[in-house]
Amino acid sequence: MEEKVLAILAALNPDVDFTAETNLIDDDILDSFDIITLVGELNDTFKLDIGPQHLLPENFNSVTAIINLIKKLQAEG
Amino acid sequence: MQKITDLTQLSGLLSPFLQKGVFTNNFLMLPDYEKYLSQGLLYYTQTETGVLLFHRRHTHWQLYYFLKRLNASFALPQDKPTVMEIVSRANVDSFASVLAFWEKNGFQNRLPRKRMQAFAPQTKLAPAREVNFARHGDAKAVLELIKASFDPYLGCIPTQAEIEQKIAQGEVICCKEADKLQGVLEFARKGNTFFIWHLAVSPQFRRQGVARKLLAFLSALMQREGKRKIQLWVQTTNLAARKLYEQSGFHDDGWESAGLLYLPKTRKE
Repeated sequence: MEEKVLAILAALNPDVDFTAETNLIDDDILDSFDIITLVGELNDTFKLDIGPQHLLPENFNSVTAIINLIKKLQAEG
Repeated sequence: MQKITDLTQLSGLLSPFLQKGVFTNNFLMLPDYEKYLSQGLLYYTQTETGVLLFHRRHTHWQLYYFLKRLNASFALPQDKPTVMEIVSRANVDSFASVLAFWEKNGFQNRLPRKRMQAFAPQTKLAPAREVNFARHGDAKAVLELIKASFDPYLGCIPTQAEIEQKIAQGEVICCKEADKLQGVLEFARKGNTFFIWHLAVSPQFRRQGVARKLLAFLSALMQREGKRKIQLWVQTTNLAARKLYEQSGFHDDGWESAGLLYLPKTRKE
């Protein structure tokens, strides 16, 4: 799962070491204009239903946070 | 066009479109949606291949689109203008196609812009004595200068209450001489970044270094607060402004945008 998430993030911005960053949104490393693209990719890749209610910085601030969101949504079925 | 009453309704509308390959200019996060919903300002219209969200503003409608294909046609509001911003990394092929689609639907690209940023602005100026944070009593003059300097629909013109709040937050800087407002810089703090929303100099004080003084103040503030970056959008055709920013250490960061305006058919501008 982590590899897929990293590949999606790298496609958005190949210049960033996403494994090391923990404030992707708050530090503006991941652009707000990228979030909706990221959500589309995650929904498509992991068959999720990330919606407006999940669009909070804390859900996208790091790879770990993104994986936690994916796992939570998968558990909710 | 129908009003969206709550987050559940909004989620139901958007869910089919939060997928790979959908064309969208949306960058709203949950707090934005919650704010607009609580104020009753969010509306929508839809077809089989798309949904348009409209945020009702005082002077216009702000449009956010989600489109599976660029072949739909929509009835747009006729009571006031509709504006939208399309943002993209430079040289993305779909940017031109999306622009062409909306121009075919009656929009004009009124405000093409580039994004610039600086990590260590080279203002070369010590903060000048005539530059300081705006005070509550400056709000009216600040707002008048911003209104006179920016597009009425696409210029993100704040309300009087919003500018008063920005002044209270220490996010408005003024250059004044003998109580006469020469220039203003309005910005926002987010994380490690300062975002410049408006930088305007009164016409009779242009070419006198006022903008550089304002940038020098912001640069000093950036160092004092330990911020890392200043970011702004500049009109592509405003060569004087771009030159000023380049000389102050800013560079294009690879993002561009188009500010699109649709005027109702009965309205003349």
